[in-house]
Amino acid sequence: MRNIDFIHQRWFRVLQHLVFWTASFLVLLRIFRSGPEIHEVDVLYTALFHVFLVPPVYLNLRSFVHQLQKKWGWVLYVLKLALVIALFSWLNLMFFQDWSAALFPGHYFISYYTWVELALFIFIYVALTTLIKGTRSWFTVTRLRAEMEEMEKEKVQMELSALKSQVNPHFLFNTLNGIYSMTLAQDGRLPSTVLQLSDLMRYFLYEAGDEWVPLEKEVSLLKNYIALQKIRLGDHLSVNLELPENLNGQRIAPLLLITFVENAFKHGDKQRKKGNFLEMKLETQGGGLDFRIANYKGKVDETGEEKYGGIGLENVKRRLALLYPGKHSLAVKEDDQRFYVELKLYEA
Amino acid sequence: MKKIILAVAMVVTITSCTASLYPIVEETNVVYAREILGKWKDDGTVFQVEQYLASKNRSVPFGESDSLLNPVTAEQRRANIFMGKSYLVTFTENGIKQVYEARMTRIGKWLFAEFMPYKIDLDEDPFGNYETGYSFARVEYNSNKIQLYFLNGDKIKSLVTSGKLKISYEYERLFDNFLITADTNEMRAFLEKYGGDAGLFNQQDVVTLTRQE
Repeated sequence: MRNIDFIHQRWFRVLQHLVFWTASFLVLLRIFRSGPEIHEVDVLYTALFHVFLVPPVYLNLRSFVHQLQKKWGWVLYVLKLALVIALFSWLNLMFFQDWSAALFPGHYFISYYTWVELALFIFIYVALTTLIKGTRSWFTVTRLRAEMEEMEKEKVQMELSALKSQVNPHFLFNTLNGIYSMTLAQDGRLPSTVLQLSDLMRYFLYEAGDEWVPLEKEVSLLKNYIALQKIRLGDHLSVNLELPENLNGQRIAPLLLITFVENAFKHGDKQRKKGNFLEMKLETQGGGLDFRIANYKGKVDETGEEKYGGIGLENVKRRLALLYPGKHSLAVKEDDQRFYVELKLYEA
Repeated sequence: MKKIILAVAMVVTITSCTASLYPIVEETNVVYAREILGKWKDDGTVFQVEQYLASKNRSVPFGESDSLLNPVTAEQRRANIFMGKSYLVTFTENGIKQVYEARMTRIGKWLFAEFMPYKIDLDEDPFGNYETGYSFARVEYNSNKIQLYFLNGDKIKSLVTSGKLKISYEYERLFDNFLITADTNEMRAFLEKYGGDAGLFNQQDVVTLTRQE
């Protein structure tokens, strides 16, 4: 886009006008010549003829044509245009048929066209230049629209990046809390836990920055996260995962599902001994997927009172709206005992 | 290029006249003056001016007899009326009898006449045929005198070729033939504007006819 910016600069617009009128002059000179050769009087006549063409054209382009934007403005536009065309046709006629003898003694020319023909001449020029201006405006509008779309896209990208950057510290904060607890307890599983966290960090830093990631990696993230949480909270925590074995190379926006799992651990009944603390099921259908997760309510394990979902869920909703517009559904339900979330992503 | 070999008699008789491909007189603007009719004299030459349809040389253009089987159309009637407002000018010069068809019209504040060769008695016509052209003159007349200011052909040609005058023309350099090809409207507009221009109309070579009888 940048390499054609000169077309909007003033000097280029002036050049366009000069080229147009030069072309007009040469074409009319050829039309107006009296015989097989072009003489001085033909050049003079053609130049003077343009004196009565240029004003109506620029009056129309600079002043009249803008009135078309107003409601009923075309009525005034037509009236003004007709008046100007009539006036300059008459001036042309009178100049060449009468006044020129006094202004250019020694040169003999007349008005070679009738008043109606001259009016038609001017009308054609006005119509042609209006058409050119319209075409130019159309290109300008198209360019501006493309630029706006590009800016909108960049804005969305920036917004998505900002949203993702809010996910990372949220998750890391929770995980580091878990590692901190293990360190205090001098848990022997700490090295493997740190290794798992390292894998997670690699994913966050190098792969989750992409716009789309393999669903397989996202599922792997969920498994690692749950494993880390189980280490932190104890083996008594029963989690039921139903994940498809073959994900068929399906792709998904990164860090989309982890938010729901995070919330489940944050708000879930982690002391529950009976039954599953958390149930999660992922199904793929063609290019779409159906993700469901439910957990029993429990005590929130972070400081501060925060409603289920909070910032994390709002981020997910915003990202879904930007990345899957009209191609997703998200249901978040809550009763006395449990939270339930169902996310459906439809095939594009 | 159009064949522009012009009427020889025209050149012989009226020096420096300009030939035009198109006339300046039409049915709607032809002017007829009965007082022009008769015999006129310029030096030793006698000019016989007759109404076209009354002359012996006439050839009525369309349907002389209006019969049921061959009725004269409205267009033919108009043409006949037009010819009825035309003149035939006959004179003999240097032993050559020349006949011109002539008409008058008013353009602006002037009266103009157009002349076109009608019949020229030449023993030999080296070209087999020739294309006749119209010559124009500004006319001033009273009951005893007619003055014809012919359009100065040399001046017109000079102005056109030097780029000072803009009018449709064709110029054949080999025989130095110059022909005005402006249509009737353009020619009338030109004469309306420059009809009084002393440079374009012969002032010295004005043809002055005096009534003979």
